[in-house]
This record gives sequence, structure tokens and C-alpha cells, in this order.
Amino acid sequence: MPAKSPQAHFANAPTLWAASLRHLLRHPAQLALALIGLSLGVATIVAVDIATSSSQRAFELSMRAVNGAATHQIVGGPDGVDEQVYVRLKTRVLPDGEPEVALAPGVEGYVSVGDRDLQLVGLDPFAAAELNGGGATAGGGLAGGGEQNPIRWLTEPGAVVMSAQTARQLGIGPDGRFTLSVGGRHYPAHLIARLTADNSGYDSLLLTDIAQAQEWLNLSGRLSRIDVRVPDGAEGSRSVETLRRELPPGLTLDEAPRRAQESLDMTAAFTTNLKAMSLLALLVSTLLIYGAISFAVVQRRRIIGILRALGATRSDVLRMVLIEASVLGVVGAGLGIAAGLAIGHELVHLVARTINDLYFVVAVTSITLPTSTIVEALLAGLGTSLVAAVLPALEAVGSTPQLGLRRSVLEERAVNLSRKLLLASGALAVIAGVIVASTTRSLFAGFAALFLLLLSVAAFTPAVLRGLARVAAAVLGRWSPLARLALGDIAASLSRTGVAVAALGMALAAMIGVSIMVESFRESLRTWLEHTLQADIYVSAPGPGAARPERQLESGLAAQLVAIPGVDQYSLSRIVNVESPSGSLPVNAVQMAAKNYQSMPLVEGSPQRAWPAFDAGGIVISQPLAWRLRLRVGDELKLTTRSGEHPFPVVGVYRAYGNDRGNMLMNLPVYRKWWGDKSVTGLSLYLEPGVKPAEAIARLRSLSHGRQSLLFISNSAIRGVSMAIFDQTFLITGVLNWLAAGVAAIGLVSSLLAWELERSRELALVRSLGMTPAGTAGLIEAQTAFMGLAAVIAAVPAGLLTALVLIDVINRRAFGWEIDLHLRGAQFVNAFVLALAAALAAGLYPAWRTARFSLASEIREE
Amino acid sequence: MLTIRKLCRQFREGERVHRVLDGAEAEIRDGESVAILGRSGSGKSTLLNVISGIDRPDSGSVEMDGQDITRLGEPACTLLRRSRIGFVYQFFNLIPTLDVEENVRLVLELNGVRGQQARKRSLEMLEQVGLADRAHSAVDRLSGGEQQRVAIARALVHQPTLLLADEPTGNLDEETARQVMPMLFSLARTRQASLLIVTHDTALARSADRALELRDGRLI
Amino acid sequence: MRAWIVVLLLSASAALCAGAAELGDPALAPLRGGPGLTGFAVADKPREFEFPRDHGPHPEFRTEWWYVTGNVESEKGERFGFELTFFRVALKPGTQRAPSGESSAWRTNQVYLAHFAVTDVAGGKFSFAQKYERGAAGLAGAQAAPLRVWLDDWSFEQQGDVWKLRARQPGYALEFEAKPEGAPVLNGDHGLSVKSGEPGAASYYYSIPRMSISGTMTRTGTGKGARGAVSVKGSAWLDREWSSSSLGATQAGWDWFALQMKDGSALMFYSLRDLDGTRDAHSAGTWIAPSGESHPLSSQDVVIDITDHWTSRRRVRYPSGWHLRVPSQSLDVEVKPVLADQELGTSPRYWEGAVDVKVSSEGQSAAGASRSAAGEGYVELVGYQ
Repeated sequence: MPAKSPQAHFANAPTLWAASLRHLLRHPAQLALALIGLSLGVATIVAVDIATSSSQRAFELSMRAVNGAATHQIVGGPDGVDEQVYVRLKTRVLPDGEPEVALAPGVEGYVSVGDRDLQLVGLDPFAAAELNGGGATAGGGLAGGGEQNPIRWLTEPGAVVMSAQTARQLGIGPDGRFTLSVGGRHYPAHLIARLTADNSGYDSLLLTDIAQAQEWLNLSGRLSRIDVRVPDGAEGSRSVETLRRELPPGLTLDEAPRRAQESLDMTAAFTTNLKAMSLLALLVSTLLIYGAISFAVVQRRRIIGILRALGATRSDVLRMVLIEASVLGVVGAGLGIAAGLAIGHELVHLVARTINDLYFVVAVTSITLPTSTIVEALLAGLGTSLVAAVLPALEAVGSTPQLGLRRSVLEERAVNLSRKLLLASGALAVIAGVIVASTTRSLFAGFAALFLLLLSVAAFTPAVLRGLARVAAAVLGRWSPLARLALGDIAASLSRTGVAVAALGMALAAMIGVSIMVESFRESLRTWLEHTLQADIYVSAPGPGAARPERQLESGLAAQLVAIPGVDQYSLSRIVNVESPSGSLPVNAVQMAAKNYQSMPLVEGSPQRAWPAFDAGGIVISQPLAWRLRLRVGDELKLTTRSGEHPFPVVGVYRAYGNDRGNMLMNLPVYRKWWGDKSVTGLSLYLEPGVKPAEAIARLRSLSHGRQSLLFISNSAIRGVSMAIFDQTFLITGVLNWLAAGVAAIGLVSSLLAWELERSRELALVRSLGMTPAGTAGLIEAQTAFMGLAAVIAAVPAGLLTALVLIDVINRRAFGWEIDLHLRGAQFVNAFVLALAAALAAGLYPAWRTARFSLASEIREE
Repeated sequence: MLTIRKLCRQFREGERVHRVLDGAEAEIRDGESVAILGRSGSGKSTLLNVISGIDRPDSGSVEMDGQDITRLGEPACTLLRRSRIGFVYQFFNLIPTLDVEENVRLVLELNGVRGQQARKRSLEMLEQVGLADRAHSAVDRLSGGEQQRVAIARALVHQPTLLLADEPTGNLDEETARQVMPMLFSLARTRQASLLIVTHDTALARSADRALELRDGRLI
Repeated sequence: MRAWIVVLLLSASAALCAGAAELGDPALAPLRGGPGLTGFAVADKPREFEFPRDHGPHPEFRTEWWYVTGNVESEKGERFGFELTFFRVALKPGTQRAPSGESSAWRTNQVYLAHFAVTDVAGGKFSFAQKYERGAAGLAGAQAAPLRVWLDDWSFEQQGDVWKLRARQPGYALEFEAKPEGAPVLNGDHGLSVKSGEPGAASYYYSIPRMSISGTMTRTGTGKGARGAVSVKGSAWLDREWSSSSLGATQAGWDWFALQMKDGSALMFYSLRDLDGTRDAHSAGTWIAPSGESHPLSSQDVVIDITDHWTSRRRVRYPSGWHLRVPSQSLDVEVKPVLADQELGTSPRYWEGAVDVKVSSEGQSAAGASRSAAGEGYVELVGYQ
């Protein structure tokens, strides 16, 4: 016989492939479980990717929808840019040889139509056309088709344009009339045209003429920004320099992409968190796949032995298993991508909602599936199943063929392995500790430590399981040999049971950790709200988006409102974003009531020194801002005022959870002096003793009636609203958490199923010795329940540790929030219930099978 | 020509050491059939594993046509086994997911024979064991005797020079064994393959050209 | 004679409306009266012209323009033609206010657009630019005393006794001083220029047929050819017209001639073309004698034969040479574009270019023809498909 290379022979042995394929198909449940686990893991990654990238894409599109050709932007303070600056730039006589610069004004704000928040964009069609290339091609601007009438756009009061999709969603027909509200003021609007372009960037936008936007947003004489397009290259840089020189102080000229990036960066911490959750799901599914594939391999130990005896080399067999795993991986990834698309569709609304609540208005109407996500998903699926397959495959081919190893030898190895894993677990935990201790700011390092910690949990679980089983067997075995049998089995089949319980333990630890973190955060927030929200009534102009300048009380109204009888003290505040060299920063300019000072929880700086300094022009910054900009009391923060950059001394740091980008308090007169903005965003009223908030609110309401619909909220209601927003934000975390736990549960089911099926002969024997089917089923359920319990026992301390890492490392590094640990029984009970449910479910099928199988056939089989 | 010299193989079980092979020696000529007798646990299966290169001896050598198998690397050893050795087992060890013909053909495919040629040869082989009409049955539909005949067909289809049989009648009733075993001997003889049968069936041993007994790790 | 410019404005909505191409010639419709006219003042009888008041805007009318065309030459003899035009269009009669509260400074019914074209004869290049702006917030507008019309950094304004022109586009910038030579000339019936038999289809129309120009023309382009500023001198023609409707339903377009003769005389004539290609009876013009004395010309007074054609890159066939006679004034000249391609690719497109005027061979033989021997001028061709 010609001796070719063995590989060449094997690769072309179709009969072998037939054997491999038929094996998989003969165990459909097992195949399905492996695929479900893998695809769920992949789906989670894909879903999160889709949700975040679709939201970001929608935001980018909406940024680009208006004046997308702009290379730069001129921006000013909270009240924007004086329109005369624009007129001056447009009518200035450029020296010969200076390149043309296209400029377009923009007036922006957030408005509500029904319960939908939209971004109102006021633009000048002529300038927009010029900026975007002009002519019939009109580039960005309002191009893209639609039935528009320029004369109506310019001459009809209330004329607006929106995307056909948005109009449909709002139920506004062609030429429809509707009411929009801006900070509690209501205006009639008239839809003169609908954009039918397939650019979904328009979906969150409401376009109108710049004049109309100024009037609605109460921004007469002001522009939100000036979009600039300069030519490429040196000419452009020269134009930028010239422009910069001509700008009055207080205005800055930035590159347009940088502005967009800055907005997106706001969401970075949020998306990183989501990403980490999805990786967690994948990690859990890796263990699940490991269980399923290793079982598939072990199941074929005998066949592998025969093949080896017949002359298949080790690498032949290894290759067969790995190719099988690859196919499984790719198919699983494919299914995962499909499932991820579906989940992503749902998740995207949650993500967009959160972004709307916390960052900016975005309407996600189309789903983006980035190529990188597909590649990532395929790699994750393939990598996961290969990693899962390689260990059992190596083990199988490493053994003597034909007979295979005796089970006892295999288990002996597993026991040895569990000891090694225990050491590895310790090492992983130590490394995680070192990482946390040696880094201070890196979020990535924080997540690395978290994952190492979870792996460490997975690694020590088998040893815990074995130890528990042995102890329990020794104790319970005295009363019942059956219990001894059941528990002994668990300890003896560590190669099977260990992996499943490890996967479950890891998922439970993560689940416990995350829920402790969320609960602690929630509790800290609640305490903080109680402490800081001391005023009885809060009055504010309604509307989407925090720190939007259009949210303001009608001039003169504030003075009348605070003058109603029964008001003891009051605070006035103006909440805006100001520019600074470190980007746009939220400022809460307050004229504080005496009681207000007392309720501010300073974590740095003493109240005796901080508040007088604050009144004199210092700023008190929130913990997240201090963390983000690395500021301490005594430092200075430069802000761009109306007359240029000015340093403000940091005189205190306070605890705050309101905004993950941070916030700062400034004395209202100081703000007015530097920014010349006299508006008021809101009031907080402290009532005299005995005055009922409801009565005071009724009085306030009748005062403002017909002038402005304001929000009047009692402190208890505002707490409720805050908590509701919080819960919504963490809904996503919760969903992902359960998804990861679900993956683990399925993993447990599949591994235990495999194990129990493997033991069917032994069980048959037990039955033949006289045990009833119900008794056998009970035995199986008891075993799986015990394993669920073991997973919980391993997961509880690990979960606590995870929570600490999440709270003190991840959260701090991502947001700078200080959170107090709060423990609740429910968190552990949840994990326990989940583990038990998964474990019992895992036992169901084997129990059912054991109860009904034919004893004869099971025993007769070799 | 198969020459076994001073084969030693021991297993450790906790504190105890089993000397399963302890200087076993033998010489088997081409076309000769040799039965190896021994009690359960006397190391017969270990001997076959060592001869076929599946297991490695602690010392000693196994020469096939002057080539020492124990000195070959794993891939070369597998290659040799695949092309020169055929196996017949007590439990048949057919692959359950393949049909009768596929089980036989698999060995040919592993040896680089493919397609129609492989199919033709495996069918011819099945004809010689009288199972041509069951070629596409699932193996678990066959009786024990039929399964063993498939195993014989598989063991011989690639024309090995050495046929190893491990208790081939161990799972067959007497009647069936009497039908199947002559087939094994005659097929091995016509193909000039040396046949090494491990058994404790003295009747079967008598059918062989000669018989050896494995006792205390030595062949007597 | 450019009431069609409303159409241009509508195509300003190229900014708003990608379907601008639909605004081809059929879209001259908005100029043809109808309901859109209600609320605008109508040019239906002669009026008393008063300067400088009438140099300024007339926002009660729908459309209005300040139209300067001219020919200049450098000391080295480099010749340029130029067109700098400001249009005002009211989208709606009256002024606009916010329904409630403070009105934005950007709110207006008035829209301005401007065209700036340069014919660089030496460089063999024609180039143009257009701009749009709302007549509000100081971005664009017009005033009477002193006259000032501007759109962004393009402007036409009176400073003392000179009128300053300033505009730039990629490649060219001009800064001219114009001095009117003589008083404004009222066209038509004492300034009432009737365009068709339909009531109200008329405009108020006056010209300053000769303004001496001095200033600098700057080539800023990066391509080959001369760069830098050139001092130039020459002569320009100012057309001022305002109306609310001026095209008849059957009219397709027009050919407009503004010729300045070397002897000091000048001719303005617009030939209205009907949809069937024939000249409309309402075509008319003005003959201005060297003394400044003007004589209205009717359609029958002027005979024009097309001597050449030119087809643009945009596949439009324009006349490109004329034999023009005014027998009553013994004028018999050949009119030739200085460059064939002086088409403005605006929407809708039109041809507006510098021309040379030469005494025709027949004219030379005729007695007294040398009086108005030759000259320069501008021709506008609108409505060609």
C-alpha cells in the first residue's frame, strides 16, 4: 500500500466525515444546546454592538444631516453667538488671495411634540446651500427630496419640515398642523414638507427657518453656532487662523468632527459598561460550549479509540474535532448574529432612551450592523468553540486508543486538575488584586481585573463542589447509602459536573455582583436625594435635555413666583453648558437659600471655608467632574466666558450622582457677571412651617397660567422621578445580567444532561436493584439541586468581591461616583432561585428519561 | 515475520506495581497463525496493544519485517498500523454511525484508497465474508456473528500482513463462533497474513498452527 | 428686461428643492400675474420719477434689480467684460412679523440674489458666480440715499459723486468706481415699459447708459495665466427696473441689446420672442443721442438679422452674431460677442456677454453711417432651450 502522508489521507476520508456529522445529528438536543449557548453568547455581543453603534450612528447622521460639509464650528457660551458676528463675517471684505470661506448660521434647541422630543434646527437655506456646495445638488442642507416650497418656508409663520418617517410616527399628515412646546411654552407649527430622503439622520430633527427658531427658542439676536467650511490644506488653515483672529473673545472655533466626538465621548463610559456586560455573557457561554463540546468528544471516546486503532493519527482526530468545533462555532456565530439583530432591535430602544435621558436627543430608526461586529462575532464564536474543544480533544487523543481511559483514571485527572485550578484561582485573584492596586484610572485595567476575578471564581468552583460533595457524602451517607451514592457520584464525576457548576458559579457571581452594585448605587442615590432635596417645591421649565438654554422661566415670572405667601426661602438656578478648554461643561449657577447650603454634601473642603469662597466667585464641583478633570480644592478650572477664558478657583467638591460627566455649582451673580445671561432655569422654594406644598403649588400654577406651563414638583415627587430615571438606566444592565445568567443556566442544563445521560447505565442498574422510577428521578433532581447549591455557595463570596470591584474600581474609574455598599437578601435569594431553577431544570430530562427507559436495553449494552 | 523480544510492560496502581509483560518473546512467520492463551488479566490485551504500537513497552522490541515498531515515532507507528495490521475485537468495535460497507471502506480511505475503487474493494471483501447483501444495513441491526464478520472484513480489506484478534469469539455463541472462525483462518491464510489470536477458548486455539500461553508476563 | 429673475430666485430654492430642474421655462409662470400678484403694487401708469429716491428699493413691487454691465480695458490693452447684478424679490406682499412676541431680525419677505460674471478676453475665460441672501439682519438689502445695495461682501454703493462696485468670486475680484455721465434715461412711456397686452404686464424702467469706470480687476485664480491686480478703465451701463408682473402668456424669452457707440450715442433694445419664435409687437427700445436726448423706439424701428449661432456645453443653441439696423437713426452695425461662451450656468441658464459693435459693410457704404461708427456693449439672451 502506498504510504502517503497520514494527513492527506484523513482529510479525504468522506466516511469519517459522515460518521462525525451523523454523530452530531443523532444527538440533536446536545447539538441544539451547544448552539443555543454559543449563539446566545454571540448574540449578546452583537446586540450590544448594534444597540450602541446604531445610537451613535443615528447621532452622527443627525449631526451630519444639517450642514454636513462643515469643517469647523464657531460656538460661544450658554447663549450662543451674537448674530452680528455672523453678519460681520459674511459682509467683511476679504483681502485678495484669501480663499472663500462658507459660513452658515444655526439655531438649535430641544422641543417636544406630544411625548416625542425632537431637536429643533433653525437654518438659513441660502447659507446652508452655499456651505454644502450650493446649486441644484445642495449637498446636505435640506437636500434629499421632499415636496418643499421655499416661499412657504420663508414666509409662513410656524413652517417646519421633518422626515416623512417622523411625521408618520407623530401622526402628522401632509400639510398638518400641530403644537410644539419649548420649555413649557406652546406654539402652533405647520408641516409644510416632509423629507423622504433615506437619510435617517433627519429622524430626530425638526427643521425650520432660522427666524422661526430664534423666536421659538427665545434666542433673538443669538445663534447656537456658526458652521464653517474652509478649503482643504494650507489655504484652509490660513482661513481658520484669519477667522480666529477676527472672532470676539468668548467665541471658539473648533473642528466640526471634534465637536461631534465630544458629544459621543459623553456616552463612552455608558457604552463601555454595556460592552463589558456582553463580554461577560460570552465568557459564560465559553464555559457552556466547553461543557457541550467536551461532552461530545468524551461521548465518542470509544469511536476515537477505534479510529486510532484503525490507524487515524492523533492530529487526524484532533483536526476532526477542531473542524467540527469550527463548523459549530461558525454556525453558532451565524445564529448569534441573527439573534443578536433581533435582540439588538429591542435593546436599541432601551439604549436610545437612556441616551435621550442622559445625554442628547437621538432617534434611532435604522439598525446599523457594522462589519467589525460581524467579524467580531464570527471570531468570538469560532474562538469560543475552538477553545472549548481543544482541551477535551487533546485529552481524548492523548489517551491510549481503543480502550480509552478508564473512567476512574479520567476522574483522577479531573481531581488533580481541580487542585491545580484551585491554585490557578488563587493566582488569578492575586493578579486581579495587583492590577487594581497598581492602576488608578484605567477603566480597561478595572475590567481586566473584574474578568480575572470571575475566571478565578470559575477556577475554584470545581474544588468547592468536590469538597462539598465529599463532606456531604460523609455526613449524609451515614443515614442513607443512596445519598452517599448520589453525592459520591458528583464528587467522582468532577470532569463533567465541575465545568457546569463553574459556569453557573461565575454567572451567579457576576449576577450577584452587578445586582449588589446596582442596589448600592440606588440606595446611595436615594440617600443622597433625601439629603440634598430639602426644598419643598421645585419649579422648572419643562423640556428634554439637561442644561438646555431654552429651558427658562419667562422673564419676570420668577420674581412673582417666589413672592407668593408662605415662601420662607428660595434658591434660583440657571443650568447651562459652558465651553472650556476641556470641552463643554455643565454649570449650575445658583443663588442659594441658606438652607440650600446646609444640604450640599461636601466631600472635600469645609463648609465654613468653601461657601464664603463660593459666594466670592469660587466653584464647587461634583465628584465625577473632580475625577474626570483631576481637580482638587485649591486647583483652578478655566472656563470660556463672554470675555474670554477665565480661571475659577475650585473651593469644594460635593457628592453627586446626577450627571456622569460631572457638574459644578457657581454663584448665580458670578455667572451673570461673566456670561451676561439673566435667565433662570428653575426655582426651589422652602415653605414656611405649616404651609402645604399642594396649596402653594396651586397658587404658583394660577400665577403662571396662560404664560408658561411649568413643572411644579414636590421634593418627594422629584425623588420618585430621579429613581425612575435611574431604574430605566439600569434596566439594560439588568437585561444583560439576566441574559448572562440565562446562558449559564442553559450551560448547566446541557452539562448535567450530558452527565446524567452518561450515567444512564448506572441508573438502570440502580433501578434494576429495585428503585422506583420516581425514586430515581428524585435522586437525579437531588443531585442537580446540590450542584446548584454548590454554585451558589461559591458565587456568594465571589459575588461580593465582584460587587466591590464594580463599585470601588469600575464605577469610580468610569464615572467618579462614590457609592456606599448596601447589601440586601434579595440579591442572594435571586441568585439562589436562579441556580436552583436551572439545576432542577437540568435534571428534568434525565429524570424523565431514566424513569421510562427500557432497563433491558440499557443493561445489555456494553 | 514478527519478532517479539524481551517485552516488558508494567502498570502502577497506587502503591502496587503490576508486571503485565515481563520479558515476553516470540517469533511468528508470515502466514502462520498463533493462538495466545491466558487467564483473564494475564496481559493478553496489553500484548496486542504493544505489538500494534498502540501501547509502548517499558523495554524490549517488536520487529515487523526487521523494523522495530517500538522505536518508531507516533505518526510512523500509526501509519504502519493503518497499512500493515488488521484488528478483530471481542466487542466488534464497529462504528455505529456508519453502515456495514462504510465501516469496511473507512480503513481503505484511511489508507488513501477512495471513491469507486474503495467501494468496489469493500464490497468484494464483504462478499468474501458473505455479507454483500447487508452492505448498507446499519451495524446495530446485525447479529453478533454478522457484526464479527464485518469486523473481519474490515480487518482484512486493506490486505494487512498481520492480523490481531482479541477474544474474537468472546461475544459469540458457540454455534456462531464455529461458523465465523474458520472464515477468519482461511481468509488470513489465503492472504498470507500472520494471525495472532488472543483467546481463552482452547478449541479455537487448536485451530491455530500453534499456541502459546501468557503466564507471569512471559510467553510459553 | 429681466423680470424672469423671479424664476432664478425660485431656483434659489435649489437650496430647498432638489427638483429645481422642473423650473425650466414653463416655470416662468409665476411672472405672468395671477393670484400671486394680489397685494403688490402694479406698474400700470406713468409715474413721477425722483432721484435719488428711485435709485433705492421699491419693496411694494414684487421684483426689482440693479443691473450693471460694462467693458473695461487695462493700460496694456487687456479687455474685460463684467456683469454685477443685484435682484430683489418679495416672496409675499407686505412685511412679516412673528405671530407673538419679539420678531427675529431674520424674518422677512425680501430675498436678494446677485450675479457676478467676468469675461476675461485676454485669458479667453468667462466665469460667473451667484449668491443668495435674505434681505434681513444686515446680510443683504438696499437703500436710497445714499444708494447702497449689497449682498454679503458684494456691493454697489454711492460714495460722494462716485458709485462703488465691489465683488469677488473664485478667480476674479473687482473694485470699481463708476461715474454717471448724464442723467438717467427713462425708457418706454416716460419710464413705464409695457411688456405685453395683458394689464399690469409692465415695469418702471430707467437706465444710465454711460458710466465711466476706473478701478482694479484682480485675477486670483491658481491656474495658468496672469495673476494679480490690473488697473482698468472703461464704460458701464446701469439698468434699473421694478415691477410685479411683466411677461405675457405667449412670450418665450427675449434678446436684450445695450450698445454704447464711440460717438457718444447709445442704443437699448429688447426683442421679445413669442412662443412661436416670432418677435412680439411689444418689443421696444430707446435711442440716446450723444447729447443725451432720448427717443423711444418701437418694434418696427429696429431690424435684426441673426448672422451666427453657437451651441453651449449645456446643449443650448444661442444666436451669436447680429446684423442690427435702425434706419431712422442711420445705424447699421454688426454685433459680435467678444467670446462665444458667456453663458451663465445658473438655473435657469442664460447668456449675457460683452460684444463688439462694428459698422456693417452695407452701413459703410451708406451716407452718414460713420457717425456712429462702432462701439461696445452687452447682450442678454433668455429663454433659449
